[in-house]
Amino acid sequence: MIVKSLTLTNFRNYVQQTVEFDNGINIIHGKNGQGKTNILESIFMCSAAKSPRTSNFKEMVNMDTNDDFFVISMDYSFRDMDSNIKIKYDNRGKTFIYNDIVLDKVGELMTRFLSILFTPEDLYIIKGGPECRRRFLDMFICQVDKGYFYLLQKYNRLLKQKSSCLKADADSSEKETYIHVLNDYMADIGSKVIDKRLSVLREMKEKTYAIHKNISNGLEEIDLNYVFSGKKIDDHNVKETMNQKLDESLEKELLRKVCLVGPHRDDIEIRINEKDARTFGSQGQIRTAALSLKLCQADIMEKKCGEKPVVLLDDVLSELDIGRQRAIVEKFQKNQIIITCTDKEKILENNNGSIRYIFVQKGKIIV
Amino acid sequence: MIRYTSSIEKLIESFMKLPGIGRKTAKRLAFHILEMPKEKAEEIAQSILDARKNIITCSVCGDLTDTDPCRICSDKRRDSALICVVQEPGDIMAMERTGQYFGYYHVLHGVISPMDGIGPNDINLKSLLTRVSENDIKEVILAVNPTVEGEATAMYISKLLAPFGVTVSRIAHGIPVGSDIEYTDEVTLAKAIEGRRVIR
Repeated sequence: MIVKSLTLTNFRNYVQQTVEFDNGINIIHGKNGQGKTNILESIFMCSAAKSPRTSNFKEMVNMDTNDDFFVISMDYSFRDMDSNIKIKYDNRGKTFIYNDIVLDKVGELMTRFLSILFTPEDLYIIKGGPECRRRFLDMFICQVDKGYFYLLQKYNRLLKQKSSCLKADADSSEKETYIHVLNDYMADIGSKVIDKRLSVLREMKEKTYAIHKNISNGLEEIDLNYVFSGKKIDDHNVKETMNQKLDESLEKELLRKVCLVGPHRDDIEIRINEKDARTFGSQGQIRTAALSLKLCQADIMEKKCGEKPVVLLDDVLSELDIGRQRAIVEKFQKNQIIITCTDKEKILENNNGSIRYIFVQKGKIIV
Repeated sequence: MIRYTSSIEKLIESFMKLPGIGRKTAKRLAFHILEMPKEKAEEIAQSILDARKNIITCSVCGDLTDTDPCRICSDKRRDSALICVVQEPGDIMAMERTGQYFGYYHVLHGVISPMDGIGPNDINLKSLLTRVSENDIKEVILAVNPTVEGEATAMYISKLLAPFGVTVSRIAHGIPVGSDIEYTDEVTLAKAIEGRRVIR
């Protein structure tokens, strides 16, 4: 998978700008706040249909112009075929266009283009609350599995219905019966969500272990486990377990008027050398763990789609020592890599291959 | 700034209250009516008034009708053991066009959707239970739309009907007849696989 060129119109601090990329390593450099990350953000959006920074598309419209729209247009090649993805946003909403065909559902964009983004915020996968880990896992599965995207959409819809129902003031026997019905339905859909997460996590578990051991010079062992309603579970009878838990919690849910059980409350436990990484991990351990998880995802993505994802490194190399920098660049020897950094001299000092340098200043590419 | 005279403005705003009509279309409709011969315009107004005055909901099935009970409910030749539950009055016509269904109907006038403030008591459900308990019904067919809310409503109805010992069925959904598997979207196809049938 290779990004050939990208045209941003009214996106973030860009008014109208085209950027071209090489097949190998591309380094986008420039001072802080010039718009380096915005380029990576827009490329990543073409694979996830979401921004890693915000869920509000309006925020991404250039604030210095009077227009209220933006367009991202990206030319890329996938399985030796040239394709184009456009993301448009205006006051009527967002539109996703693939090869000039307007996609009627967002989910249709999934799996058409694959990229993996490394950012300093990746630390929150380890350090942050459970929602960070859920988001991390969900976004990844969506990228490789369209069906999961629709499943999640359905589950979230049910969740909204149930929480509105719980909040509706009148307590009646009808309301309770209806909640029972919703619970059955949610156990069905929710267990499918959990099943998918479990199967991906199982695949990640072994791979991440190997990768992490390797980058930590054999010193650290990482372990991943899915936590459902505060308990670790395996893929045995998920539906039954969830059904049971929903029944147990019904009274509490009616009292507190919130949905307390389901994949929207779950977590992924990450342990390093048998200690919970979230509470006990050192800065270095957390950084390495986040890196291993992402590297592992790149592997799985490639395996699932038969093509190497585009690797986007947002200011992460500068935080790593030369050894780890090289480990990453070596791992992605055959991928296209797009890197942002403030100081182009400092990174990849001893790299022999050709590098394309892209200099960004105040929302403009200076050649 | 000059505005429209208040009666024109009022007409435009009235049209805007209709579903799928924005200000632009409303303006076009309003001016079209004003250009019409007076009798034609009065005819439209009259037909709205007539429909509102004469059309009532059927006390049995909830369909829109001018006689009570409606034409379908008073048709004795139909299969009295069957009730087909639909979401909107318009759905009855769609079912009738198939020519394959000869039972009676029941119109819910919506589906349960707490998000939109529609609870189990806000749709036409109680009378369905009465109908099932008072008549000799063998099967209730649920023909609600295959949305999340439709599914949940169907499940709710089937739960309520459980004590009556009637068969509760759900119409099949999947690949449209005459279309191609290749062009069917994943969600529909997955549904079709879920609802597959043994043929041997």
